[in-house]
Amino acid sequence: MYGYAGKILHLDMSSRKSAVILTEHYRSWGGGHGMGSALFWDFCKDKTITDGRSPANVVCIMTSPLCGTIVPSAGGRCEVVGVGVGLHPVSWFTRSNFGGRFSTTLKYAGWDGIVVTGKADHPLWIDIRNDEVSFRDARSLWGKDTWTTQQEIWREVGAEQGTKKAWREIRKHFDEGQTADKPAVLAIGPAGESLSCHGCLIHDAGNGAGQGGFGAVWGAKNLKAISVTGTGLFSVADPAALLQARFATKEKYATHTENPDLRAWSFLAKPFRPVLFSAPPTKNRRPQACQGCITGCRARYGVGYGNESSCQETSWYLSHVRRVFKTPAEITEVNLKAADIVQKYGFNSYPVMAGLHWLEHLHEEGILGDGRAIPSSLPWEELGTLDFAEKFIHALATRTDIGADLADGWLQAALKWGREEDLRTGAMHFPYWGSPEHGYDPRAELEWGYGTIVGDRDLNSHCFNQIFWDVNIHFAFGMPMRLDAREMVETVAAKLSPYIKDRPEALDFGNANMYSEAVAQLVRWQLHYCRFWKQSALFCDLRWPNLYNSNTPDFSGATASADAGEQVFWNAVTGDRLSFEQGIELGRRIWNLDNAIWVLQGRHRDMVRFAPYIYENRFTKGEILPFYFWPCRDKDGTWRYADVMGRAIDFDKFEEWKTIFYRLEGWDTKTGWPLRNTLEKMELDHVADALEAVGKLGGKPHE
Amino acid sequence: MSQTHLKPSASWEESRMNNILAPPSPNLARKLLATVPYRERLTACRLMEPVGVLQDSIRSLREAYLYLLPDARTLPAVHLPSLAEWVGEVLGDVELEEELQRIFCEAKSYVEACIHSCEQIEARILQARAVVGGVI
Amino acid sequence: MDEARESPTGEITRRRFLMGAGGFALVAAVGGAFILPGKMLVMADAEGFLLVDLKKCQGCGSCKMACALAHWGVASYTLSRVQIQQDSFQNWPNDVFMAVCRQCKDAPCVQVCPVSANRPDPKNGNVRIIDTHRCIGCRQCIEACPYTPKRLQWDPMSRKAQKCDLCRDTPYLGEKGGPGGTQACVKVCPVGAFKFSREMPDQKVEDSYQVNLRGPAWAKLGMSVE
Repeated sequence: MYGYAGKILHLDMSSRKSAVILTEHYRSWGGGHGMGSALFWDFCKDKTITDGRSPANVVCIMTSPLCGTIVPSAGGRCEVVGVGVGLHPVSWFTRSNFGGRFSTTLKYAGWDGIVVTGKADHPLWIDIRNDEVSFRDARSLWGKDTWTTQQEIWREVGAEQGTKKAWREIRKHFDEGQTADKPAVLAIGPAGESLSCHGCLIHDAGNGAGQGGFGAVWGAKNLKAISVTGTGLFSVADPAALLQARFATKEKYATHTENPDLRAWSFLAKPFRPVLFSAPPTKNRRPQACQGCITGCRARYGVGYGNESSCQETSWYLSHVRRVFKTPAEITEVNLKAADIVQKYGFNSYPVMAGLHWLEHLHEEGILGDGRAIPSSLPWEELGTLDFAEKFIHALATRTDIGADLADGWLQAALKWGREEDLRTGAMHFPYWGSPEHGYDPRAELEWGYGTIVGDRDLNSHCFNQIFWDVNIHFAFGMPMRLDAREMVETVAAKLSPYIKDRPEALDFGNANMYSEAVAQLVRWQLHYCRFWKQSALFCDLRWPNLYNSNTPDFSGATASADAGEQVFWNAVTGDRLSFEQGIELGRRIWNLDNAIWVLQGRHRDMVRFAPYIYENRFTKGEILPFYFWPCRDKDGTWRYADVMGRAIDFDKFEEWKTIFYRLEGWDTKTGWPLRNTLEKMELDHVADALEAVGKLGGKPHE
Repeated sequence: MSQTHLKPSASWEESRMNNILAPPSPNLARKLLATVPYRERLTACRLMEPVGVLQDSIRSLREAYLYLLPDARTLPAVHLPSLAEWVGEVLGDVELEEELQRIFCEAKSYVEACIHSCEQIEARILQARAVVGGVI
Repeated sequence: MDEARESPTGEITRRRFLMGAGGFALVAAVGGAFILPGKMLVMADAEGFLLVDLKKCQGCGSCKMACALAHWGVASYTLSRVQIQQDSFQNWPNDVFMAVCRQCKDAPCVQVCPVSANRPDPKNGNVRIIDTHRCIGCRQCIEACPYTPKRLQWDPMSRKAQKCDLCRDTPYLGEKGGPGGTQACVKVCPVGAFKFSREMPDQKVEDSYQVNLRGPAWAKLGMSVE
């Protein structure tokens, strides 16, 4: 099997035994999420669990055929699946994803993925050196932060710190494998150890599988870390085709190194800059990338902090820091040091960004604090200082102070504290599944909100979101649009095969179209595209799909193209003859398996609802954003970029939209449960049987 | 606002010269330099592509000034008419409110409006300081 | 040599060759090198070199993967002839080291090869290559490389050594390699941290292959060009 290592590693924590699963049994799922869902289905004996900390939970850490190759911005991603922690009302079977060099090294060690079952009786770490797997005592590592843990494991495995180091034998003899690289270690910190929903998985300085609470899942299994050293290889079906497609991507679609277009449209065409809210702390830095990435989005600096942190973790504290510190240098330093804190604690800072505003609100209103209704001894008057950040994260990571209540989820804490009203007023911006709003309000950016609520967690897929950025930044600066609204939607719609190819109306988020069949098809396209191409083939979310691209004369992006489309890379590596559309169809199959798991966990369409404020309050200007431009049609059909703020989601109309969506998916419109016919067409008969056995197959009489 | 901004226009410079506000009273000056209670804050956010939308808020004129200061990395995202209204209703500075409304209407782009609002707020803070002392 | 010739099977075993190599006293032409009495090897200078910018590399490993792909048609780190070492917990610029073969003047790895498998290739700019058909897997070339990490690699499957040939022998590259052609690492690098040069860097200076490839575009992106 080209592109595959051929084996999947099963780690049973209870018995401390490992076993080999042949990848070929799961080959039809592609890799990554698809394989992970299929493995979960087979290995999880109780799919009714709704808390990932249950010993019955199964967590899969999966690579793809593209991992360990030069497929642009796909070679270094890794997918994690299992039942999550901290969502509301149910912690669904969910996913997360991280980059770096873990998946690459795992492939070179001879493994396509890892399935973890059971629970150890004391903390363990796993030492993988090619096909040799050892369960090792982690009691001395328990309590240590993620960076210390990794470096101690490096020492244990025989890797020196620093660079310019000699090759080392991974066992005793050079014929058993030599490497010049450090082991790739994935670890939890104190947050995961305490089983807090904020626990995440950290690899190297700044790669994190944040959402889903997988740190707590590992903590519950007494799994502190997995270390991988890999010195092997795997075959690629058509190496020349792979190299040539990569060269074509660099030359045609990606940023031009010597002449970067600083205002390029599309994420693939952007220059390599660290994705930070604050200015980089120094010019003395390099871009830093996941393995195989064509445009790094992080950095390592000369100043000794902020290394590899990017995106949200570099901004969770920023708005508070800005109140306390005056100079840009101070603000950047504290902000990035706050990022280092969450990396070390193995702490998913995402809920904290919106959550800290809510806590500030409770404190300012006299509800939260020393001797108040919600007792907290944290120094709230020092909010914005580095000292407060450390104490706050420590409390939440160790279940002390308010961390004890927040460890099981933010909505759970709100309900415990009697703050349900905050979900009506919008003081608590947690619109879906107990997850914080991502900045792209469901009332404005429909595909993000709709896609999230029919799924399992904050969608965090930027397929169409790049339109928001390109259009709104250009509007703000008064710069001419590089594509007018009609050109934009037509260019993008040309890529949306098979559901809505050349149907630009799917991108119309105006009031008249927001509950339409076309928008339902757009949401389906995104979900199915992501389930396969992003989450199974593991193309990076911040680079793919490339729907439009200002580096090409006609603005046509790399997605589905004949020279550098996703399917070109997949086929070059695997030897398949998969079309772009067949990839989407495979994504639909994976999505359906996920939905079946959610149904077994208790999903019903009546649960698929936003928080009340999304229905009851308009998304008003000044609530957060001043404008939100998106392609829309006028009454006469003319396309323009229009401001889609100022509206709420109509409850009844959204229910009708859900019916359209379920019908298109082949699911029971009353329950949202899949129909047998739908599953059987995708060769998921056994899934239909399992649902029928518990009375949860769509189209049947039910409670 | 149109979508064709590049630089501040000459007419803006002229109109600015003609629109220096009268010095605030000591009472108003003190209010302009104070921080308002949390519940009277103005919500806003910052944009950084493609990092996202960072929720934020403004609780004083000084914070508004710092918020609107040009920043190479991020864009302040505040509804400028709401900012003007907040200055009038919460801080009680009707003159500044009118001036900010005028800037919003006349600016050729959102960013130009932010820059000019920032300059106007800076000038107002300096006026307040001249009346009652204090630093930005 | 006598022992090797005396082999009843006619094969030259690795052990016998190693033993016999010590008595080699003839003048022989081996590729672009001449072996003089007293085991001195005189070789022409290489006409192509890889230069690197350690401060520019983004650590994506694309060069490593492209190298193994172009030469062997497989995905691998250890079979890459360029090695990028990273330590995530070090600060710039000490967090990355790019280890490339220097195509040394009077290359020690060529000097020690007992079977002249490691030799300059006069048809390709005297780039130092290892003829895998001749290599007997003695590892002397790897040990002779004076740099850390060693710039030659051990292939445990074929039990032979390999080294950078500037992409001379790249059946999977899809275009002409070698000096005058494409080097996979140079072409694939997203940030331009490699440069092919015809000019031999100062052999007496260890970091002479480390150059500054950061131009105005780099400065425009807010990064140091010093």
